[in-house]
Amino acid sequence: MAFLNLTHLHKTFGASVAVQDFSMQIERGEFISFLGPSGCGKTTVLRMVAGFERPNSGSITLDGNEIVGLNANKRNIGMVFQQYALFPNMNVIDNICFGMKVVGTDRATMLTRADEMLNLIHMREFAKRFPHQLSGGQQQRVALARALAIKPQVLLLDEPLSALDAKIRVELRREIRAIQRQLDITTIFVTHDQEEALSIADRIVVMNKGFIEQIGTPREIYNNPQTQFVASFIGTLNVLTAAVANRDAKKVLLDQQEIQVVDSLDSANGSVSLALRPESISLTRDDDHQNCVNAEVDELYFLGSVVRIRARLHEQFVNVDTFNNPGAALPARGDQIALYFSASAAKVLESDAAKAGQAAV
Amino acid sequence: MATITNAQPAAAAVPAPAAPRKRTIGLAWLWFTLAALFLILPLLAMVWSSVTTPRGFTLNAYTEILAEPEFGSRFMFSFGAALLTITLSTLLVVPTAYWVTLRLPRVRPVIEFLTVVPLVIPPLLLTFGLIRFFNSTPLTNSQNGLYVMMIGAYVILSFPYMYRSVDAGMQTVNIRALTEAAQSLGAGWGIILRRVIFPNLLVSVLNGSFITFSIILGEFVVSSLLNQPAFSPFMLDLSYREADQATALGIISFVLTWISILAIQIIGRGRASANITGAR
Repeated sequence: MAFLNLTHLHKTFGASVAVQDFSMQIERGEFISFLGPSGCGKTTVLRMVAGFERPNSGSITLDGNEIVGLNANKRNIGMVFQQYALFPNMNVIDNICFGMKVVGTDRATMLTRADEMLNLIHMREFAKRFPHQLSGGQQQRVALARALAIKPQVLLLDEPLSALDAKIRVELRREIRAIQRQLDITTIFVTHDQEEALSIADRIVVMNKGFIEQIGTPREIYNNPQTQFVASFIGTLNVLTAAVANRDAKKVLLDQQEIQVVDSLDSANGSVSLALRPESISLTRDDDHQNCVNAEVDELYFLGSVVRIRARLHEQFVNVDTFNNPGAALPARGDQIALYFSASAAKVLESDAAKAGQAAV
Repeated sequence: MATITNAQPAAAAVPAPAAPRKRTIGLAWLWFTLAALFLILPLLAMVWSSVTTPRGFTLNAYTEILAEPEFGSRFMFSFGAALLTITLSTLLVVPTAYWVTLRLPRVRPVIEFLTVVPLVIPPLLLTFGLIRFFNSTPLTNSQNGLYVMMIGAYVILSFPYMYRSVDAGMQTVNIRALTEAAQSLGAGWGIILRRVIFPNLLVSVLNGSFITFSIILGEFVVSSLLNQPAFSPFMLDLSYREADQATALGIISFVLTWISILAIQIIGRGRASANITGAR
């Protein structure tokens, strides 16, 4: 049995369904990220684990014990909030010691532990500061230390970086991951930022409209999205409509040009949706790029390390990313170009109808 | 200001904005002066009449009133009643406002309506109502009972000011996040209220307290009907006997109220500024 088990969790708020049939197992020491657009239910699941919401049905076991019936203050789960939620009337040390004071830890132990925590977040010299004297990033580090000071069994992070500047966000993200590895603490990190989730997590849970869309490692999620939602939510993706040409030989027609795919076309009827990452298309032929589609350059976007070319296939557009190579010439607007990609790069997306059928089973 | 700093070429074409601005500032000063005169002139008149006699300048009224033994006891009585009211009112209002904000946001309009009720009902009716309602119970049978009843009435009178102030403070702090943070750290309701909610609402509580304080120091109807030795009835008594002394007393009570409020404010700001010192 896994360390943290979420089984068939359901949660409704009045008439609206927030979470439906959420089940997953989390191993000890794992770093899990819940990813999805706002309102997808990711925070609700987190709050159910924390004890701030009670599921309508389902169970949550932590280290073998059922915790659904326990109040939040009896769960020994640390939580970090988007708005920091430091106690404004207490300085850094008192904030960190709060949880230990509540359970009556003796003063010496408490101060030693607080000192450890301050070291962990590199903020020893700020011990006597009050929250309003700290920057957002510092406040969030204190909030992290405060949550960890009680030696929680699980650490929950509810969009902890959303209120911070881009640069601090990346820094703190790295720091959170380093601390998590150091303490080997089971962690759930809620975010709507895919880059954050991809870069930090062992496994990602992609959620949409209260359902789990896919659970997998960042690589799996990015390279093998299993639903159209995951495919379009993670990274930049071309979703193209193609007509089925030969079901058995797995050939489809994209803009009247035949291309080979690897995925089964059995569930397709007439047309399919193809997912194609911009970076998996190249402008030059390669040995494993057996597909070739002719297109016209519609627009060029210079993004620094990458140049994104928007190519027109009559009614559809395809984005193509190429590395910015100062030595190489770029095509100009209106040029005819050939797009090369491998058969496995063009994923046949499960249609929504097919997915709905699966979910009902 | 924006019209002055930007758009130099346009500024030449449109020199008009400066004039209306000057006119509105002049008007603002005029109104301010009128309002200040309205508030200050009666006070000045009081001071004038309390220090002049047909024989010239004198501070006799002040020295006599300060020598009056009842003066101190009456003032301390009202002062104590005010502190007691503020304490009770705080203990009643803070948990209520907290609970409403956190768990029963739908009830908020109802509570807000209730906070207006004590403003609408005249204190005279309130007191008569209380006397009738508690008639021939221990509350009306003894002087202590009447005192309890008076404090009860004061708490009711203070409710609108305390509640509104605390509720406004509650909206500026993220009460829900602080509560949840405390809960996740293992705290129960008692600890959350005592160590997190109260300290963070201190300024709001103080704001409500100022108003409560000045209302109770000047309160006449309730204390007089319940036959309590409060400050205001003493002032009225005195004005029958010694008009000059009563005026002097009025001035003194003004000053004392201001000093008391200032004291509360300094205590409150002392806490806030303790947080601010040590900043860069």
